[in-house]
Amino acid sequence: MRFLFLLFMLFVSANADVYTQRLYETILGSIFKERPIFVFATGDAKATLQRSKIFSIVADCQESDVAILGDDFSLEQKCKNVPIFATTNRSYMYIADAFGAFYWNKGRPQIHFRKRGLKMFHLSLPHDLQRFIDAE
Amino acid sequence: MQNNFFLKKSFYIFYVTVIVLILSAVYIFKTFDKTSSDIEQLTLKSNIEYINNIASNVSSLINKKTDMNLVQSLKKSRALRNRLQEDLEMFQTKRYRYVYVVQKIPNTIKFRFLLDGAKKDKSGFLESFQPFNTQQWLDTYTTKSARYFSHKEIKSLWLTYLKPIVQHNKVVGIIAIDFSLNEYNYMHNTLNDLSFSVKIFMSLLLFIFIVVLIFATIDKKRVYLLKKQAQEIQDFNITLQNKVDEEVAKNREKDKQILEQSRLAQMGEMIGMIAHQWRQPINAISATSIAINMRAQMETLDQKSAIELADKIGELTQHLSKTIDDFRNFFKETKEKQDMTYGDLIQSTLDIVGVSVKNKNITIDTDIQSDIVFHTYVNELKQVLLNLIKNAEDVLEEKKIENAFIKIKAVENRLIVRDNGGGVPEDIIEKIFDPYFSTKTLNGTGLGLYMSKTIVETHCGGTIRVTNDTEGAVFCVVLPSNK
Repeated sequence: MRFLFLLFMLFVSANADVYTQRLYETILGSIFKERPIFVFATGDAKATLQRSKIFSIVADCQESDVAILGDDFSLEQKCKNVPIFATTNRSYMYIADAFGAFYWNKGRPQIHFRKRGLKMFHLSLPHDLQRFIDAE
Repeated sequence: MQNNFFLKKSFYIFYVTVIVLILSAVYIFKTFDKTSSDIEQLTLKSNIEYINNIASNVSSLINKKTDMNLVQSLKKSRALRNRLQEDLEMFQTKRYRYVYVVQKIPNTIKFRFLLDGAKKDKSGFLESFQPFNTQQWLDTYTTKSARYFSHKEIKSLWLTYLKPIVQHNKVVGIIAIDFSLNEYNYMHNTLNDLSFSVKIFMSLLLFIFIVVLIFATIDKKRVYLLKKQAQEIQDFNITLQNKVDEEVAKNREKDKQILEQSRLAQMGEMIGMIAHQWRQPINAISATSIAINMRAQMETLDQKSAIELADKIGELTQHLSKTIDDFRNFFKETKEKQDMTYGDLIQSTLDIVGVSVKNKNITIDTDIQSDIVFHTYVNELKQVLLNLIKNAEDVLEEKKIENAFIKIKAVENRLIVRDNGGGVPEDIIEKIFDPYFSTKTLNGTGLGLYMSKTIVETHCGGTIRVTNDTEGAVFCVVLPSNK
């Protein structure tokens, strides 16, 4: 399974635009079981997720299952009661309650999970993703 | 046969040329393939050598500026970090897309940034970094040696070069340089284009070879069919030649029969001529005999007179005998050629036919201006001249021409017989030499002129023709002179 995930990661990185969407589907799809997953998103992530069938974009952050946020930190307060998934390292660092992040750095996909955020919203990671949990 | 040889030879030359071309193309392709690979290797090698120098310089610079205590120095001084990052920025070009320094997080297999040469979106100090090929990065730590590896999975990168920063004999960080894919793509695409062109050329060559091979095979079949047809035509020609020979032989036999018929017809006419020739000497013999008888009854026949009269009878019988000999010789078929002149020919013919013609009040004029000796079939030519004279005689007699004449003239190799019988009608003039064609109402066999033409042209190798002049027909025989 790990091997398959790595393969998938390699595959994904070959075409970031299309496979960023797949990666979101894989990561968030394995954490949130309900379908569709109501998502509040901004920026590039919104455009990417709109193409996916398992996500449904909502306009109000409070109505979403997960908020996917970039560098617009003003939304943090608005989405305080919603699990936040960051799309940049900067926002991941800034939003201390964010349970995870996915972004590209030096041409490589970077995935992070934070134990605190996961615990706060009672989210559990599948075994394959647990190695991306940051050390405290 | 020679054509066939050249055809085969040209086929072999063609095949050899095509094979040489194909082999050359394969050789070129193989050489190109190898050269292409060599170019890639050389480019990689020169790049690695170059980047190795840069990385060594960067490593030296870092060691120098951090006093051999990298992490601590960077942690302490933001200014140092910025200065070093500015230095790294200088090396970051289109070719070297990312230049950065990472450190393995102690007691984990994870990495974090120490320095980033990026001009924008710079990674933060100690920001987490998840590289692909993690094992290569870890190996750099354990082996303390530089390494590089290519990327197939990362879209924008060709390869990554890793150089360990060693301080106090311990790897404290890794200088990572990511090569942009653009340069590799440019080189690779150019070589690919070239390779594609070579492949197209080879395919085209192969296609042409196959097409030519197909055509050559078809042509070979065509040549085989042509040869077969030529053989059939040759066989047919042989058969045809045999048939022609057979028919010619039949025609000769037929001609022989016709000649025989003609001769028989002439012999019939000859009997009349003999009768004319003999009438006078027989009358003379009869008169001499009566004279002997009367003198004997009157007892006036003395010994001298008897001898004179007997001699006269003897002369006359000799004349009769000569006449018979002449006619017999005339009809004797000569197997061998003999020498003769037109003068001899005319004289010997007139000896036979002259009296008969003159008795019909037809004047015969001869004009001999030729002394050429012909080596030919004399008796047969006599028959020809006899025929021409007899035809003229028959016409003149039939048309009851006044002052009728037959003029026989010999000039060089031409023998001309003309009369004043009015000539041959123009509508039949081309047919008169055809067998069984006759204008005579009585006793005409239609073989005389046909045989004359056959004798002159086939046997004697000459020509015979007829024209009309103002008075009558003009027959002209031309014999080949023996020069």
